Amino acid sequence: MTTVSPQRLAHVFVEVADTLIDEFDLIEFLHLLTSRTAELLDSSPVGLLLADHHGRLEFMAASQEDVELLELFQAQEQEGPCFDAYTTGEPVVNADLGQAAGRWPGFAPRAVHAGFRSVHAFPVRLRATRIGALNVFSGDVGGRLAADDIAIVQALADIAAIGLLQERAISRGELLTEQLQGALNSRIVIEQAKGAVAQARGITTSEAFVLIRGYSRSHQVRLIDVAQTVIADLASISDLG
Amino acid sequence: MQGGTAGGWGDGWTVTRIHGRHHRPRRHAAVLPAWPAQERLSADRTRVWWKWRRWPIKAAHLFGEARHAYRPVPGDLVRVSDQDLYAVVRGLIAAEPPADAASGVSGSLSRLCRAAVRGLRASGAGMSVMTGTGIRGVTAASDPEAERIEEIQFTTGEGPCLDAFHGRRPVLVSSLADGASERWPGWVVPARASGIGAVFAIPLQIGAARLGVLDIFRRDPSRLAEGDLALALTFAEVAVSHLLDSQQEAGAAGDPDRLGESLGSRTVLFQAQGMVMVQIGGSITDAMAAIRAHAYAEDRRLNDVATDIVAGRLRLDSPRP
Repeated sequence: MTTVSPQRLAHVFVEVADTLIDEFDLIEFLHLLTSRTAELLDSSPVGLLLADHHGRLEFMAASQEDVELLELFQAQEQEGPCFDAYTTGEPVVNADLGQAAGRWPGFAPRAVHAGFRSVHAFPVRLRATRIGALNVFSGDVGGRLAADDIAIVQALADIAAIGLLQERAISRGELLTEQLQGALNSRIVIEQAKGAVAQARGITTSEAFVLIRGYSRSHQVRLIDVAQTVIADLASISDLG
Repeated sequence: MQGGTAGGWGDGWTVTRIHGRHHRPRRHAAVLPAWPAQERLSADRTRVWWKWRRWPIKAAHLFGEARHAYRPVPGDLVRVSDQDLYAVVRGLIAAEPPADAASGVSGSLSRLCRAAVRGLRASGAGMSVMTGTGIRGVTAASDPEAERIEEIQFTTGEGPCLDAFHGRRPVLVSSLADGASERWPGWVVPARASGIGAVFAIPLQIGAARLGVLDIFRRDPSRLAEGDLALALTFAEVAVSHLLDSQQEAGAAGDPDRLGESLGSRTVLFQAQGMVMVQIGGSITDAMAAIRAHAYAEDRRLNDVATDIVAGRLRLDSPRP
């Protein structure tokens, strides 16, 4: 059960509902959503995946960018709790990873190996429209979410979906599609940049990500902008790492 | 989503409709030509035979009336699986008369534009292939009027195509009457005079690699329905693959079946693109073309090649054995 105060909870909901700001950045918004969800759940790792036009789930944002965790989010393109939550529109809660090798043969063993005991996934949807899923991992024994927490997290995902889908449907329905496609492409740029840095430095793509993220933080530049620069002119950021 | 099982395929694929509101199964609803290349059939008999075993399609669907049997009208059924949209796009392209061989890349992209017009119930489609700085190179269009409207964007220096390119995301305008004339005053006037009511500009890009833009024009103002958007994005993907393959001689006869192959992680493919970019000292687009050309030459799947690259088992800067 979350120990966050009602005041804090109310603030989080207002924050997540606020999608009308100028210069709205979808990836930044999704990052906020995962961070706040993690905060409500005692820092359990939280990630968010969005579907592309083929219905393939792509990793978009996470509360913590632990490399092993990122790979777990990315492994759910075609199988896993997020894939199930997205395709059915129903949350997957308290799934025991130790017992889930039959259900998710590719995903479950990797998650167990990464030290997680249970997993939860909440659809990001508004009525019949589904755009992705919110993913929560629990490492502690049992790792069960209380019924109240389940309701709160799904409500948070719903509020985000309403903010993204409803308002844009009223003002200009195509806007979310444009933003979503732009964000999906941005994630691809980041992967390409990881490959480029890994090759140039003779390190793994995971280590390359740590370098890119470190540069992004120390120079106060968005991750996507660092990634674009890596692809356009790697030599120009020689102080990377 | 309404589903059912398509008769005639015999393997229980789930089917659903992508166009229109009403579920109206028709006799030929599931008859999609599964790949376009009429011209390639005689060139590669072995591969065709293999496909025959994989795709239980009657001969007539390949060589005759099926070329014209598929009309994407409201109520049509299409198969739903990961590769479906590619199959629909391939079928639509196959149904268009082949381009004159002398017309090169532009000719085959114009054929794609005509297929997009038919598949998306559009009035025209244009494509501009651009360099990273937005300079226009190869162009293609469904018809001369669409070509002219496409061209005006470059003479006036404004328009949905340029915004989609620089913004790296689609620009979807369901009505040119709503605010578009403030956004692109020099382009909207001739576009509307030409009878265009809506425009949908889709970037031709994979991550940081930007090749150009596909513009879909519609006469009547209307939103691009979800299924239509997915189809438009898939047309753009097919165009990107075609452009990448046309860059490399080895890949000139690229296998359209490789589109959409997605077993394994696509993340690995993107990472491999970045690695090869550094290996060959070229652009990210060069790297993509090189990976595809290698996969064709070695007759391997893109994801397998990418996995070897990321694992360090394969470099593309060393000469091939």
